Amino acid sequence: MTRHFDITIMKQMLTNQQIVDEILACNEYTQKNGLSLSPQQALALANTRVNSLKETKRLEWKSGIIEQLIDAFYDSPYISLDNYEDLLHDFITIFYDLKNNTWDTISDEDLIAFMKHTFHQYHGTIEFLIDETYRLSEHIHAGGTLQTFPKS
Amino acid sequence: MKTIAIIPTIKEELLRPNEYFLSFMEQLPQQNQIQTELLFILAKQADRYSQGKSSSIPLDKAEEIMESILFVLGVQLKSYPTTTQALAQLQEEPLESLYKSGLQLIQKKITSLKRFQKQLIRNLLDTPNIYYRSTIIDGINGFFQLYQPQFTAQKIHITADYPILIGRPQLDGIEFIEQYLQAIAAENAFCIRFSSKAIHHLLCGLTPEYTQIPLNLLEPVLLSAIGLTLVHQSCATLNLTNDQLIQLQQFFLPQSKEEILQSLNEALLVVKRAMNIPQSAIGYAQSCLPKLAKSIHTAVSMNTLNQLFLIPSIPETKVEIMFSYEDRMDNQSYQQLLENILQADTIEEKLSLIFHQISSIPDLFDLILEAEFTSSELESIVSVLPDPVRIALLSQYPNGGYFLQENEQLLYQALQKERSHHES
Repeated sequence: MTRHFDITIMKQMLTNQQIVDEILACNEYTQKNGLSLSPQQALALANTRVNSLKETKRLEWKSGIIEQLIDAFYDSPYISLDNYEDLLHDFITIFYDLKNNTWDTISDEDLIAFMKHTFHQYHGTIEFLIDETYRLSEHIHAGGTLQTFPKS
Repeated sequence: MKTIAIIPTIKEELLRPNEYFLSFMEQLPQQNQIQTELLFILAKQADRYSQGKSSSIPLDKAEEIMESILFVLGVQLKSYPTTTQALAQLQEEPLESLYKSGLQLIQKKITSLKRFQKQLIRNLLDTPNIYYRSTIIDGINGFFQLYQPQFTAQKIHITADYPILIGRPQLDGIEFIEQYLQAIAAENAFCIRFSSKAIHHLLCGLTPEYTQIPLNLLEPVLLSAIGLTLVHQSCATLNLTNDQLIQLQQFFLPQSKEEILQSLNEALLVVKRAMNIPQSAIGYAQSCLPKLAKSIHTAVSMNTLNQLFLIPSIPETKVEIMFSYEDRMDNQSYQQLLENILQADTIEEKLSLIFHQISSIPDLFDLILEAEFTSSELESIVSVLPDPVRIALLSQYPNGGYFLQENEQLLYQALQKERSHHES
């Protein structure tokens, strides 16, 4: 029925500028941990969000995921100004992939908490975090839940 | 007040029943504002769908929710008496408010259709066709259980196996079910005016396995009733004969499609009076007649009218009948049976008496000659006889052509007709 109605114009609801502004607003509290992002870096992160949504074929109707990721990870002992932006790109990509691969059964909040816990458990090694997301996905596909996921 | 530019009218011929809102919107000069409002409704519904736990959903799910929103808005716009009033509402009310009204309207439709279905089930035609009952009860109940107007208002969910004569509604969601149930109710109201046994025998004329086939029940009943009316017979029994089929072939042969439709319409009104069929069922049947007129026109030209107008068959008697040359009845029992048959009103009663009380071929032969059966009754009797008995009766007339009684001649003709029917 929607063949005459392009739903992807929904993207217009959240402009990149809005996202960039929200990311830059986070500098206010991340700076006390020595972390901040330039407008160019914020725009690059906003673009990663758009590309991830496109690749995972998802539609987002409200902003806040990048803010929530920043809020969850900015005080991590494994993050410094050197790897801050790169890791945020990775987290954004992992988040939307995991959302799809866990069949939308886990809330945004719980998924970010899982990512934070696992990242710290493996001392900030992104490859181990990715491995654990695969394991969680398989667990969900086998009928499990986040609560029943065995910690390695 | 919204700012959609006023246009003179909505062209109703451009409105698509199953894409009503979209086809309505396409005719408006300023669509951007509506699109923006649609996206806000989508955002709210997507948030409800994820129960506020997610800020994104898969694109295909979002599309499904958008289809649902468009469907609900279409239902609401259709509820206004005219498209002009619908347009005025669209201009005056926020789209979200129209959407909420549409959801409420759908909820009312659900409630009223549940009641309607219950009434229908109470008066359901007694038929062994499994698709009829299972669709109306299990299928429709399944729909009500699965239907979620908030997120998938456009979905039907069920396969709706029973094929209605008018054709599958080209609608979605609750509108499909509404039209489908109304059509079934009209078909049911027509069919229950006839004996369920007569309908069973009629459909056995197609195949005794009709019970396991998703076929329309009204078509053979309607055609049989109309056919009998056209050959000036009572339509109640639904027992057309091969002779009458030939008469129908001759009747329809010179007629155009329009003339056939006219004949069917006239006969239907006779059927209505004879069987006291409610107007709702007649209105529905009338809307199906153009389709039937077309089929009849084609069948007449191909000499395949027997595929449309069924000749009843009584399979249960066929398997039970056992005849021999022994076990003749005593005279008193025979006379009593003869008297009962002469007093019986319908061929079904007569067949039942014959096949429950006679087990000898000589008794059967005597009875056929003495019971004053009509030509069509003899055809019905012969059609349910086992082949060996039919052959035995036919062997009484090795040369044909010479008969002591008129009934013998009728019997011979019925036997010959059945033989040629088998050979073809």
